[in-house]
Amino acid sequence: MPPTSEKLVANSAALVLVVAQAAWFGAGFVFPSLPGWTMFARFERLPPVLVDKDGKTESLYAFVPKDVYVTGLSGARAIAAFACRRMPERAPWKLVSKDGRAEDACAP
Amino acid sequence: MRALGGPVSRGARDWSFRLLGAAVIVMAAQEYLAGHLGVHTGELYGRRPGFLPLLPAAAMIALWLVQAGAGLALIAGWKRNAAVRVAALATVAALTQHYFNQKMFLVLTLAAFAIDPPDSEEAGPSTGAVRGQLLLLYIASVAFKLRDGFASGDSLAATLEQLGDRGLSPWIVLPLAAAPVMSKLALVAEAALPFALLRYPRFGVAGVVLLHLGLALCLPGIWPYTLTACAAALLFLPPFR
Repeated sequence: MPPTSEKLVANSAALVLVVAQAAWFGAGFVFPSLPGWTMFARFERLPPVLVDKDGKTESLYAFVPKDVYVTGLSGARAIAAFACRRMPERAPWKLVSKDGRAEDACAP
Repeated sequence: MRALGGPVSRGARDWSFRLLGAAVIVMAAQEYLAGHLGVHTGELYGRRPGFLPLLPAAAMIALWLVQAGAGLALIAGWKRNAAVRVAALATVAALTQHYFNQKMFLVLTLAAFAIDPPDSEEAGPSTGAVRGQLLLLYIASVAFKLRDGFASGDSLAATLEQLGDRGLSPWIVLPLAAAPVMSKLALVAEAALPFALLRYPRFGVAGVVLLHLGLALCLPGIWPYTLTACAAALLFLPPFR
């Protein structure tokens, strides 16, 4: 049996952890831009292709590790901006949806 | 809320540590195999807090090895108290390099285990914290899904579509048409689990294992989440008498 003070510290630490998680949950709920416990709750259909100035295409997902799910358009745009920085010689890049809609991927 | 502080089966607790060790190993191995080193060499995009420095590739490999070592120690039961603390610290460091919700959940669970790894059937603060965190996870997940209209099936359909676009092959391929039904089922299951874990722990644990196994078979890359959730759920099992 640990001394009382150690037990008190352990109990407090456990409480702090659970309260912190509850706060994280609450913050994510109020501020959707925070990465809360969304667990695939909102998953958008994304433009899956990047097209360079010469019309050559790259998969958007070629620029992220294979186990990373891209859940929203803001994530897709961040990846596209990364492609622009990584291969500026092929800029301007366009982010192209399946229905053919395109947006400039390298806009500031 | 009496169940949060209730006793836990010794065998279940031992398996809980083993599953947690497996989760840490799978997390590290998965990141390596999925090509996360490319983030460190500048070839791939990584999602992480921008104000924290990106480690060199060699340091990231060392971090994964530390995670794997701590995970192995947890599985084998060697110096369990030290191993869970090392695993927690290494996984926190790994979280600063690549943010994933499932890694955050693993960090929180490891941190809870690290408070006071219990050595008797009496539930200590660690057990209560792990139980509370798992309940909160399901409550939060349901709240977010209700807020975002997950039950319509659109989110799951978009997820399945992304798997197809990337050429990723899950163990079970769900047809797009099944998305609305599967979404509702997942939502109902997640909503029921906190009640089941508290009131009927054996059914609750079985439900957690079934749900997460099903999710992992349909969605590649979430085995660490599955193993962590199962490790946490086992702590709801009372001693067998």
